[in-house]
Amino acid sequence: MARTSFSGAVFLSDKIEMTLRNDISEVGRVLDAIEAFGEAHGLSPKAIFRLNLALDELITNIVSYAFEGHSDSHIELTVELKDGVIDALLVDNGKPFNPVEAELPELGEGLEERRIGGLGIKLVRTHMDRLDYCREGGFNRLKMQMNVNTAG
Amino acid sequence: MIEMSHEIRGDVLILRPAKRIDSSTAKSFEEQANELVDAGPKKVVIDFSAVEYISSAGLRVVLTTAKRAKSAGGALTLSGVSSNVKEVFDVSGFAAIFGMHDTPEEAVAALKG
Repeated sequence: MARTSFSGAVFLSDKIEMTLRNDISEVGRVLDAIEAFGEAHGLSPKAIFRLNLALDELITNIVSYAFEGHSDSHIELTVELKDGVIDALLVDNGKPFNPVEAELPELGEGLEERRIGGLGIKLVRTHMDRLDYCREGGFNRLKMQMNVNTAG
Repeated sequence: MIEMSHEIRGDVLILRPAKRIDSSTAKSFEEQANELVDAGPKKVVIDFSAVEYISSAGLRVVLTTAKRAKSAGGALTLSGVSSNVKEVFDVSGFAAIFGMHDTPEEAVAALKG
């Protein structure tokens, strides 16, 4: 079985497992790992882009908001490719947050009124084919599914 | 850090960020853009020809840079946006606000017009 280390990620055939620190620089490390994983498995640039965007936005939210005031953070990412489908699981013990049902603020019109809040979650919902959230034992668990073939 | 080159063409500042504007590189993009806009021309083109990836953190920097340019009497527009990056602009509704041009030359001409 091929076992390659890249960006601290371990590739066990078709799976990535990463433990993430509560630090924004981890986003870069995840994107590097997904790019390498995607290229190794022949994913299209479009599919890699979509997966990267969703993970970037979600991990950015966790690092920015989930652990205000406490330092005992556990963040784990698993990404698996099986039969043309990417299954990703993002687990964190931060504040409860359900990105599937979170209400999105109006983005506003024009340059002056335009807001960014909520845009990241909108991008996640646009680019993933399926999202399932649950809160379990003090952990947020978000499952994502993306069909790599319809991702273009 | 994000790698970014820039060029001043007449009264227009052209910014050329590289490769990836994600939430870990957006801050250095913002700092460099602010500094260049404050010191240089207020008409700004961000040329995305070398950019393969942008997240909402990157969009936020484009927005704040545009506001900064506008409040100094200038304007901002975009060029060379690839299809993946354009989709992010489209979902956000930003494409219409900034205007998109195929080449930096066309973007510069639009700011002069």
